[in-house]
Amino acid sequence: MGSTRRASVFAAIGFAAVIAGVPAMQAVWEMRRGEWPQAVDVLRRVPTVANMRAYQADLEEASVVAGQLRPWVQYAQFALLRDGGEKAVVGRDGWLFYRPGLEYLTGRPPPDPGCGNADPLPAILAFRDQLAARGIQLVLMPAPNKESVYPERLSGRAGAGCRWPPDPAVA
Amino acid sequence: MVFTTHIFLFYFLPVVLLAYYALPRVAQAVRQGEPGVTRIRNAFLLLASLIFCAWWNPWFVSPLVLAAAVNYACGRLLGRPQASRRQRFWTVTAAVALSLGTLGFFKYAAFFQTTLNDVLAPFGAGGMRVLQVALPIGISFYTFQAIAYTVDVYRGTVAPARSFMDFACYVALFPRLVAGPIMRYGAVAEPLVRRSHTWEKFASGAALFALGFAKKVLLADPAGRAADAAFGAQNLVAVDAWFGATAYAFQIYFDFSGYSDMAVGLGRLFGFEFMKNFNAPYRAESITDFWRRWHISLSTFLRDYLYIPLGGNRKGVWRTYVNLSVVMLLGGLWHGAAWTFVAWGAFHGLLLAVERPLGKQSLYRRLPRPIRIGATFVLVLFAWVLFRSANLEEAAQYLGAMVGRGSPDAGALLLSAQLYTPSSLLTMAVCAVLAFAPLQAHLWAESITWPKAVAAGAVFALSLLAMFSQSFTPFLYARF
Repeated sequence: MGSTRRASVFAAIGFAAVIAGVPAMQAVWEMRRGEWPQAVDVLRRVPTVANMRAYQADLEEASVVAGQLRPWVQYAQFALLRDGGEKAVVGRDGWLFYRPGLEYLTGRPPPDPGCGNADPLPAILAFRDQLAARGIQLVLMPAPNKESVYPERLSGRAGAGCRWPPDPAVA
Repeated sequence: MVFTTHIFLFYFLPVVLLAYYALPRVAQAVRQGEPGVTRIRNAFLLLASLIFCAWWNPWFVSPLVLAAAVNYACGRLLGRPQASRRQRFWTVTAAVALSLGTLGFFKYAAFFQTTLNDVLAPFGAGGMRVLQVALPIGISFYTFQAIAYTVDVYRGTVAPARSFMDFACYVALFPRLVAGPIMRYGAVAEPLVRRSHTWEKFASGAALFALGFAKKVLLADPAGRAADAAFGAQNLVAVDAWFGATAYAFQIYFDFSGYSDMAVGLGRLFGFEFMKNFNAPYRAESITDFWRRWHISLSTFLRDYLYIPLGGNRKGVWRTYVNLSVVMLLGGLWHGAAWTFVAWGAFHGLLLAVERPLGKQSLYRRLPRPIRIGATFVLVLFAWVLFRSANLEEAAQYLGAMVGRGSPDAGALLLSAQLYTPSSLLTMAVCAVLAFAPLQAHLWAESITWPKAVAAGAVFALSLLAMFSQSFTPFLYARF
């Protein structure tokens, strides 16, 4: 057997072992807990789009290997690359900012104002009225995004004296 | 089902591989010969491909089966010795019209209705309710593949498929169902009857799959986050606009070439050899050169089934330019029903037309090679802005920002926090090195040595770790 062939056999078996090993470990782990392997759930569900999506999401969520490794990978990404993940942006001196809040300040307004960004006033007034009916007074205190208050902690471009909400509605 | 999901990688693929390689034992048990084994395997691959397709939406199987059935039947009719020339002509016309009609309905009905509404609105009409139709996965790719088959049978360059099951397997084959490569039937007709399975081929496929997986998860997705931030920004300074456009250029390249590598790699796992779809496109020295290297299966399809039938360059200078423009406009529109794609195609068509009288070389052909490559990349970047933008207005705004005509506000100052993170800069640096490097994944993975096996394994492990830690991002070309 030549060196190339041996390397090919090694690579092929290694690849197969990884892709088959993860579900095998999952099945063993589930059976040791006295459960049926979750993978066989696919045979019990009616194959609708919603059921298939739910099955797929359940498999990913229940994955022992992914669940064990995820925190370590995310920690390594944070420690080595200052990557705060999908919800956080790492600012200067280790300050953390909420990514959707930052995207709200930098991004375009949604094309359809009614799509997830509707005028909040009617909802607030209705909430106030419901509380008032129970004898509770609603005190509303709008708070600006952290990025608006401490922009210099986020980006070197924003000077220390820089204070703003670019959108007056935030003020 | 997408290649970079848990369910595909750890459940669908191992089960399909295990069953596929166990089938010969079943066939031996029922005393089938080699052709019988391959036929059983094709039937199994067809079944797996239909499940793969149905996983997106069970309803998506219908147009796929319809395309296979119609084109198979037309191929059989075209192959009859007693078929007259007239019958053959109308058969191929009907097959192509039906295929394009189905594609047009699913892909362009809403676009057509919206455009018609916009045109009629000034006249007080145009209130037509727009029909919202879900786009069946892979329809743009398998429709072209089916058309290519029927036209090839009509031209006599391939023999009609004998077995419907084998033909349906060719149309639906899951490794290339979602986004190609667009394969000609002639290239897979023989492997559909007889194909080899060796350790070397399997290992090469696994390594190529791992590299494609890494391109997608480690490079395209992080680059896409920077591109999304830039293209989603209300206002931009020039440097951010260039950074975002470059990030998108890397995202779309590594996303699509990563997908293609995975598709070719998966094909090898099952004994097939698909055509390569990319050949270092960002090393192109002109736009003509770029189109020889980018999405090769589409550009050769458009050349053979549109440009040449239109007359190519055989009907005079002006007709050549018209043909080029038509091909590029339709090529743009093929990517999606939006004016941005039409503009993208038109821009490339214009650049190709400019290079044509220069012997298919660029205006800057006399400059040193690195500058030629850089200038071509910049032109491609401008085109990607058209391609990526949500509409022409946003594209104009973005292009304006790139040439310093943006109107940066306070929000634009904060954008740097999203764009220039250490992970983003590292990703961009690696992307730049790999995008402009001469060595390509498909060449690297042709034969597997010990160092390559170890390197591919390490890259695959790193990619899996990244996949575990980030949310799923679909392939860009899956929506085309």
